[in-house]
Amino acid sequence: MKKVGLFHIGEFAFALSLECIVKIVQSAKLYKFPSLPMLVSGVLVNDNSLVPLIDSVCVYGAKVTQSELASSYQVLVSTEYGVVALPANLSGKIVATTKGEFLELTDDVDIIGAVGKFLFASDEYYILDVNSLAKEMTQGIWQSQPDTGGARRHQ
Amino acid sequence: MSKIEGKKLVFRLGEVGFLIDLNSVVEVVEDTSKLLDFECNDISCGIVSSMRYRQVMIPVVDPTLKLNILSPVKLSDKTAIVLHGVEGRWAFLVDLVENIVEASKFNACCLSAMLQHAALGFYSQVKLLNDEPLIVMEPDNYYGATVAA
Repeated sequence: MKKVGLFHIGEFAFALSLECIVKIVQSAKLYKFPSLPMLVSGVLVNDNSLVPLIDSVCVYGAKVTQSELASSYQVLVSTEYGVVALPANLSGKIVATTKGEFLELTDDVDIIGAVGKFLFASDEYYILDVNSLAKEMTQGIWQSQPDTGGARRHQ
Repeated sequence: MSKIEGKKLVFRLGEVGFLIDLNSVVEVVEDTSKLLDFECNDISCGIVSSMRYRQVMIPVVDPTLKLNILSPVKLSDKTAIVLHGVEGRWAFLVDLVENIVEASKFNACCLSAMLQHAALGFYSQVKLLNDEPLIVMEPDNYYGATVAA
């Protein structure tokens, strides 16, 4: 990891390896969809594909208003499970890792996908492993499948 | 070639847009208020009422129950879309029928493996109309197999 993207959503600060960032878009239209994976608040369309947007409140406890969310960036990242999007406010920046310092997580930190911290300009950013984050999003999918195929006539 | 060949009916459940092949549709019944009998239901099978249609009572399904979609429209104010099933006609309720659109106006939309797995049994295809994703309605997921009209 030579460069990292540093972002905030609400009070939560996070860092992503530049290699996993596919694209950063602004104010993409978010669509409500049924039967989405856990931790997903909706989907957006990118290059004729549906991209699930991580629910920042659910995952990081980041309290943001709908209007803030609507005007925010969506950081599209590539994972083993497909492209997913993370919301971020407009203060994002990209910095070389040599400009900051990597820190280990303390035992009491329980943030989905967080694997460490990056200290930059006196601010600490949680380093997110997007693959573990996406893997976490798939949890529960298998339990939520319908077993009967819906409404059928009585046999 | 039939006039309905290659056309799709676009409708909404709550905020979510759907499309269905017009070939599968027998009729759209907009005013269902006097036709629905909510006493005759089988909620465990997703059947919320029966509907008097051409002198016959047919089962009526509400897809929002299975899809867990919040609908602002009362059941009695919904529109019914009547389909052919292998065991006879049946209908499902929608909040709003928007339009009939040529199939050529839709673009393909990819679902990642994660989304495909999450939607398994609910839907398997999504198409884009003016960049809005619409779910391709698969009636068999809601009631017995459907045949083209």
